Amino acid sequence: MKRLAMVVTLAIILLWGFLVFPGISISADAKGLYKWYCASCHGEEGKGDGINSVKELPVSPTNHTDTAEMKKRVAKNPFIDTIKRGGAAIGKSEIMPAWEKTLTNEEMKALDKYVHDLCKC
Amino acid sequence: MRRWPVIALTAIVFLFTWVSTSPAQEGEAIFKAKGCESCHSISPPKFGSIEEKMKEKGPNLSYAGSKYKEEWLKKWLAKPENIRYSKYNILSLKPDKHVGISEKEADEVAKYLSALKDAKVVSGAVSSEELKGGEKVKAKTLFEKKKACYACHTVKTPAGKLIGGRSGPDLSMAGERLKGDWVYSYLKAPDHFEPKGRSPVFALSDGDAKILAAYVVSFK
Repeated sequence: MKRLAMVVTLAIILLWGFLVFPGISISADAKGLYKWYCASCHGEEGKGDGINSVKELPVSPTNHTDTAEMKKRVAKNPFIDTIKRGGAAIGKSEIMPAWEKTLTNEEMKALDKYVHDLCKC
Repeated sequence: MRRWPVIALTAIVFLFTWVSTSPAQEGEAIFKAKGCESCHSISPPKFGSIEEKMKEKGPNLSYAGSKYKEEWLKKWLAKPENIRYSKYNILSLKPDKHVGISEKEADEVAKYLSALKDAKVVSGAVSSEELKGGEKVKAKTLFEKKKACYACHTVKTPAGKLIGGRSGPDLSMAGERLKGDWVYSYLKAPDHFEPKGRSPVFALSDGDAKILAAYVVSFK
């Protein structure tokens, strides 16, 4: 009986949490962050085809869904480093800006995880 | 003879009303009557989240007088042309055509908007003189490489070709539209003008922000 009461209480607390903080889920936050800050270059689905993917720029945005290429990249530099310090800091394009002064550590960690999810690597 | 005091009083009231109705007030009345506030807030931005920012349908105009040149406002309001390649805050959609108003109305609204200032914008911070030599080269490097502004903003090459990204406002004619002091203040503290904006917060020195702002407003 006590166990049932505990389960019901836990369920109520969780339900309350979802109702009061509907945006608290990490994956949902990461998707929103990606769409807002990254999709302009990398595209909403991460295929490197955002609105800024124009031929006049010296490099094309990275396709985050290219598992083989992304595996090679992450072996050299963790994605979080690129997000924080920008492309130039890891010897890649200066066009990828550093986000450490714009985003919080939690936001950058969420984006790091999201990019890992996109590349399945 | 008894009518004179009534006529004089009416004239005084009319004159007082005419004098006390400033051009800015006329512009404000037009701004409100045209429903501009449905897309443009005139209250300082205070977004706590991206979701709140995304609800914005057009640029915040609470600091329009610090940001835009009055002459440009007059022309643009009467004959608006898109300065973005997508709908405001929705990159996947094409922009709507902005509503135009008559030249007379545009004059009044431009006066009203030009009176909306932000105390954070330091007047005279950026020289109106053209950058020369090393400063110009440094500013161009900042714009194209070190801070890569043109990854998101379109600019014009000396040959007149438009190049660069398309997520941010077109900067190819930025000097016609923007005030250098505002560009400098924005570069130093973008979050103040556009909390949760897409533009990254750059760690620019005062000197770099000033020459970069001067470079941006040299685009005409």
